[in-house]
Amino acid sequence: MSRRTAHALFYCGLAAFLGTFLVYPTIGVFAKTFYFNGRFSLDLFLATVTGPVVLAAAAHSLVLSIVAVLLTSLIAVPLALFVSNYEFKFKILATGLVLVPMIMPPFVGAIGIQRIFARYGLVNMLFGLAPFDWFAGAGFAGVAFLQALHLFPIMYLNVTAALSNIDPQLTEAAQSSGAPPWRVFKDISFPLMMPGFLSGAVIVFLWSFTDLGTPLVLGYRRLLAVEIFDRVAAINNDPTGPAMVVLVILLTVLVMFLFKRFFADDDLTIGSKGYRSRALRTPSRPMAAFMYAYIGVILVLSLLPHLGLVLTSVAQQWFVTPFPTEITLGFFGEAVRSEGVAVSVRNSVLYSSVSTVLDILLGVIIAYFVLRQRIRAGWLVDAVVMLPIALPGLILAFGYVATFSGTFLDPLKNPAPLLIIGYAVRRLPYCFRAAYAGLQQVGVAFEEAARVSGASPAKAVTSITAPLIAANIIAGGILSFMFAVLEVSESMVLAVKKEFFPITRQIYAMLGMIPDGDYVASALGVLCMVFLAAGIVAASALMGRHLGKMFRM
Amino acid sequence: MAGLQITGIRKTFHEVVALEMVSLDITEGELFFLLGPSGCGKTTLLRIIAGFDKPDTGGIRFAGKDLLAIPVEKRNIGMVFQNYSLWPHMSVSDNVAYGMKMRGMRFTEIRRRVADALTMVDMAGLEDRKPGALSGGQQQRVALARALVYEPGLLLLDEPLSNLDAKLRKDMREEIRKIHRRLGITMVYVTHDQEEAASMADRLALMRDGRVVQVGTPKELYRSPRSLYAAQFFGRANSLDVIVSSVSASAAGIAWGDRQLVAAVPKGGMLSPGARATAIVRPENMRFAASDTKQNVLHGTLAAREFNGAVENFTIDVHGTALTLMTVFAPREQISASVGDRVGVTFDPDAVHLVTEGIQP
Repeated sequence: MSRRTAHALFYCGLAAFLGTFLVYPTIGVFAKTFYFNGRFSLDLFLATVTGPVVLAAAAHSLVLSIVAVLLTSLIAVPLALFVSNYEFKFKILATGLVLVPMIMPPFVGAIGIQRIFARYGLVNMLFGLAPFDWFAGAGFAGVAFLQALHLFPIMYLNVTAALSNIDPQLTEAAQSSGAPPWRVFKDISFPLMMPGFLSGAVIVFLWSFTDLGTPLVLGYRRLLAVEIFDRVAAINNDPTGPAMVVLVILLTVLVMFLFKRFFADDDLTIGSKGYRSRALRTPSRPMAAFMYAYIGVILVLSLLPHLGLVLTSVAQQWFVTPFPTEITLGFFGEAVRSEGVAVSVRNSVLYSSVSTVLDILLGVIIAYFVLRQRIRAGWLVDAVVMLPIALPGLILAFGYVATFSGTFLDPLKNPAPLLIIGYAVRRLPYCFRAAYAGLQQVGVAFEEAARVSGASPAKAVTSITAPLIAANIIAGGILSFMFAVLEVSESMVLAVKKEFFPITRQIYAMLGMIPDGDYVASALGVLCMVFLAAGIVAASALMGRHLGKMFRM
Repeated sequence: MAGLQITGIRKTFHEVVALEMVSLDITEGELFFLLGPSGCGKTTLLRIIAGFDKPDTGGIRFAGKDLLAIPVEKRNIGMVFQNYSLWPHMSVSDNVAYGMKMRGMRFTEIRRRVADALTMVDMAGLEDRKPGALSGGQQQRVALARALVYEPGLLLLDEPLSNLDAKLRKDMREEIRKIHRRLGITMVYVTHDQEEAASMADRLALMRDGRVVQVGTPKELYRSPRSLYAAQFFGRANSLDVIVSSVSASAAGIAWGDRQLVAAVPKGGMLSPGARATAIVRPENMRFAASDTKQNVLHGTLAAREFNGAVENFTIDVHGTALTLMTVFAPREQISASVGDRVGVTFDPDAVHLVTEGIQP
């Protein structure tokens, strides 16, 4: 096959897949907003977004996202600086534990933390405080707090990766020029880590902006995501839903545009020829004390939801005492035996496996064409493939319902194909970036050396490139799979019938069910957590310090 | 016809011209160098010969075959990459054996040849090591063995010694020369290091801005550079902007400012009175003038002297122009002049090489 034919086939395939499942549903939502009664009109959109409910919800959502970014920065940036600059005891343990919040969707964490801070929960009982439910009226603050605890590892990974890319000689040059440590940080390290920090900030912002699970569980409904969710069922009768989705898309695009325009093009990671790894310092005593205290508080806070969840899942008797007085593993048994749970586990594994295989195939092929085949519109393909990382699951799922209802892909009849495709589209960036990073690290010369030795293009890829980037591909696959299992928004919107529920939707359905729905849901949450923790450990071992690259824009 | 013929190669990258009408005729069995500074197009030309890049126009023939019509893997070329590009997931012997496996050779034959190739590059006994466990010099040797083991018709080397330290680089130069003599294979070697080219090349092409400036043996390029660029890139050179004042059959009178100098007329040189030219004199052809020397004497101040082991370099400031004089260091004939002294320097007329290429009219 000639190079030109291969490129043409690649463009056609990519356009068909992303066009049908990314662009077309988005256009569908725009059409429902701006085109009705046979003509183009701004009336519906303007009337919707200027309505008091939507305006207030949009304002709440924006403020929530900004607060989430501030909180995650406050937690993650010092943490990243400690880890990147100092050698200290229990460092490996601490850096492993800070990733733990990622292994649980925040809405599952909400179940656990509510128990910890309940009227007669662990905190009040342990410290002898008056019976007061901390999260009952917390609303906005509670959502922001939980989101920050869940999202700070993403910020941490981004900042750590950015710091690790700074050639130590650059800061040493500043030191030898006479700059004190704080000036070295202000003038050199901070500007150089800025792109990584902002990349993390954008992900946190967009995640928080469209998070559906946490506000639903905490009962805080004055957010744009919840307003949109409430209108999914009435998608054909209530036209304000699509208009709100358009508003979210426009705001998302604006944030992305500002990010790309002002920050993303700066390539500040140039290392000098004599690059060597960063030498870690031993902290002074006061510094060490401060670091341990800081990391300790962060770890305790971020592990509270997990602790609450684990305690709930084993609590046979837990009333007016700090900890359960009677322990049982019965809820795990119930979770495993429950028909609904078994179906949801089977569904999640099926949906996530198929979507992951799809992601790996697409990710590797696209990365190969962009980097190795140097296709003409490589930058555009890169941008389009990375788009879903900023595309909220809620929006995509809403687009699917709006576009494919009444067709053979109707999610009301069987959401499995759209759930698989939706999972795949939104997690494609992880596999693409992983393969891309692998190909970049491996360098084209390895493949060229094989070609010049007599290997055909296909043989050079399979015998040289593939084994060398296998770790990256597997890591990307693990992350794709994990995040597909953890997916909340798409699952909540698309899976309406019980027999198609994935795990997260099943956990949500069990909450509040009499007599022990919360407990069984917690047990299921713990099982997910263990399973996903293994995934993170595996991905981290395979990717090493490059894990942060997976969460980059 | 055997050998490598490159005809009219032009290559652009997004409207930037990387190669402009490059033509070369490399003889079979020759160790041919592409020499030039970074960005002059030498690596691009090598990659086109290998088949990694396609030229916009032009042709390449090797051993009578049109190379451009043959895919990379069928060209039967060996290549040593700048960073060696040894596959890190394979052992030394797997790296070396790879090309033979691709050619479907028998296992016993592969094993024999791997052993021979590693012995040839002095790497026997390290077959099972992974590339990461080898030093730079060892990696370089394995890369050479990998490129030669399947007996390619043509070996391409892309700055293969640039990552080695000075001592190792010198040893490897001799090693490559030896292998070339033994195997008689045609080699095209890219470097920016003129010393490397001078000490190793049978012939070389000096490149600049995507064009071949001059082709010849190292001695030809050194003795008869066709341009100031060639003179300065290939060895050190003193250059004086002069005007030709008179021309006879054997000598030309040249004026450097208000000083009259004499130069030998180059063979086939087209000089006419009034023409502008650059007079090039190599530092080793300059000497301190005796008091009775009359011809080609320039007076100036000794600005610096630099002892360099075997040789000693003197910098003489002649009315703002720095001239370099190089002498072989001889303790018994020490030159007594000190920095700041007035000195006279001189050179023979046939040590002056006049070039007119690239001179602004």
